[in-house]
Amino acid sequence: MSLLRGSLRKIALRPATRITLIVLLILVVLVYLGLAAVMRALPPDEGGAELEAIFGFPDAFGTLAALLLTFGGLAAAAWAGALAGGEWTWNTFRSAVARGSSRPGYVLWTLAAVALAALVGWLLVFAVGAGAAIAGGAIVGGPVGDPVAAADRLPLLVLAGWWAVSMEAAIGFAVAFIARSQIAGIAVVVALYFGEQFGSIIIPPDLLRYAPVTAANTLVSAAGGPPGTALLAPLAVTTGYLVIAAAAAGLVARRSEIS
Amino acid sequence: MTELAIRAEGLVRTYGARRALDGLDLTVPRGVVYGFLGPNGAGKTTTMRILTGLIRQHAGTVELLGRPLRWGDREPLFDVGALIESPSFYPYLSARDNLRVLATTGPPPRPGRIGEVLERVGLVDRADDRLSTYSLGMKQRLGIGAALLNDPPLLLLDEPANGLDPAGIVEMRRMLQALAGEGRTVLVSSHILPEIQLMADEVAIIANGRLVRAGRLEEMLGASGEVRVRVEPESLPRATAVLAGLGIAAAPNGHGTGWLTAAVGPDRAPELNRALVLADVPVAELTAGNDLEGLFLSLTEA
Repeated sequence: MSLLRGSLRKIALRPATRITLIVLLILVVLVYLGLAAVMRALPPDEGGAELEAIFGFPDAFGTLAALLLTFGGLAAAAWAGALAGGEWTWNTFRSAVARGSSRPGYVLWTLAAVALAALVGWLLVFAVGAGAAIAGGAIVGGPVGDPVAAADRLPLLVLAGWWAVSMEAAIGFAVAFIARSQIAGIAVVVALYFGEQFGSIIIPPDLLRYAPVTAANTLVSAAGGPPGTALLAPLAVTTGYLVIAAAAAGLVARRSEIS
Repeated sequence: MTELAIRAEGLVRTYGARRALDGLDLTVPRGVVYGFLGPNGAGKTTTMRILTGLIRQHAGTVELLGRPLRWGDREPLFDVGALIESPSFYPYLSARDNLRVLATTGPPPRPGRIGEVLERVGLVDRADDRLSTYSLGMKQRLGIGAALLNDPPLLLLDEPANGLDPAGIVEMRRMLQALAGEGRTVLVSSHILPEIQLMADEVAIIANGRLVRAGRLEEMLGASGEVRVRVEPESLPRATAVLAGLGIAAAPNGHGTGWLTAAVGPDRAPELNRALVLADVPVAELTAGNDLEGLFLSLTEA
């Protein structure tokens, strides 16, 4: 537990953590205000479905989660990758090992702290995003529904979104740690994002659903969808990637020589 | 309790075709400042990395404070404080926060220890400043502080004086001697040979991955000094002959300056002086001494 405490401290005090969070907060507010401005300019008989999906609750929660997963997943992967790569750049992993710290323990507790920090960030950005959606709905002047009445779907959606973001952060973290490079983590996750987008043209959906970003998106949309939507399969795939990323980082930490 | 702080036998480590360590033996007694010397590429840092469990040796054994250290072992490292190559910290954290984070790795230090360590390395006033604002010397001092975090009986310090100003070097020397005075063992790898000469009780000199010489510094220097005398240039042949009569090989150096160097310990300087004077060879100047640098060069440049 002390390793978790130390990891949380170094994450919380890291400027990149605050900057990433602030950028996401600004981005989500700007996106909603921008969308509201665009929709307000539309003729009254146009954009009804989009208005409902973006500003009308309960659907707005699902749209928000999907939007945040796209921005937040990339940001989390970059941030976690920078953190993991920094352990090599600054030789702090070396210092910990020379003090007799458990190598896999050090890496896995750091990853756990990444996931906890991602939870805090996800909750904060989601709350601000929901507020921006309500404000956007008010600007547009359309029916926004009742966010409080729709809140029964929130816990599952928030948990699913956090789990999906954590998985993407874990991939960024593991790749950066294994490659000993801060940039490698974000590069791989960006490649996955675009690769899966373009891959959808040629890869059959039955195969693509096992890809990490697609699985994360499916998990979030299933959690935000009507009750009874199949959650288990995307949850299993997402969890699988998270476990593989953690195991790979832990294994490499155990075996790596540290120069 | 074993009397040795470190026992390394037959250490071999290769990087591709290059043998960084080629059967290195090292025995470091407890409670001394031990100088670990060698030219660049001799294998010092490789040895330090093996001693701190960072890399594997391909052959040989290591014991720290009587406990074997094998790949993946953690407990033997709990009693070791190390500064390898350069201080390693998060640049965005303060010194205090860096030590707090570091304290969560390995064994937990006793309460209040972080403050004590900062006091000891003279960083209390800047303890809450970000590390990115620190000079190299301050980072180096914090590196020593980090090594002391668990109050370890064995310290492994790689170039601890790196980046320190002259006052800092003196301060560092005193601190390391004080640490040894408290019964700790301090293994110091350094290129600043005059500093090692001033602070070390024992030294090991390695070259090409092998131990070349090890022992008490005093004894090593005593057996390897030189005496330099200056006589009239025209008296050089006679002076050389007089010294040869004493069984001392001496060779003129410089170009007609009259300097003659004899490879004998400084304890023989009076005898040498008397012989020359009795042989009616006036000695204009005499210097007797031994320095680690000379010994180091003679052993490693062969």
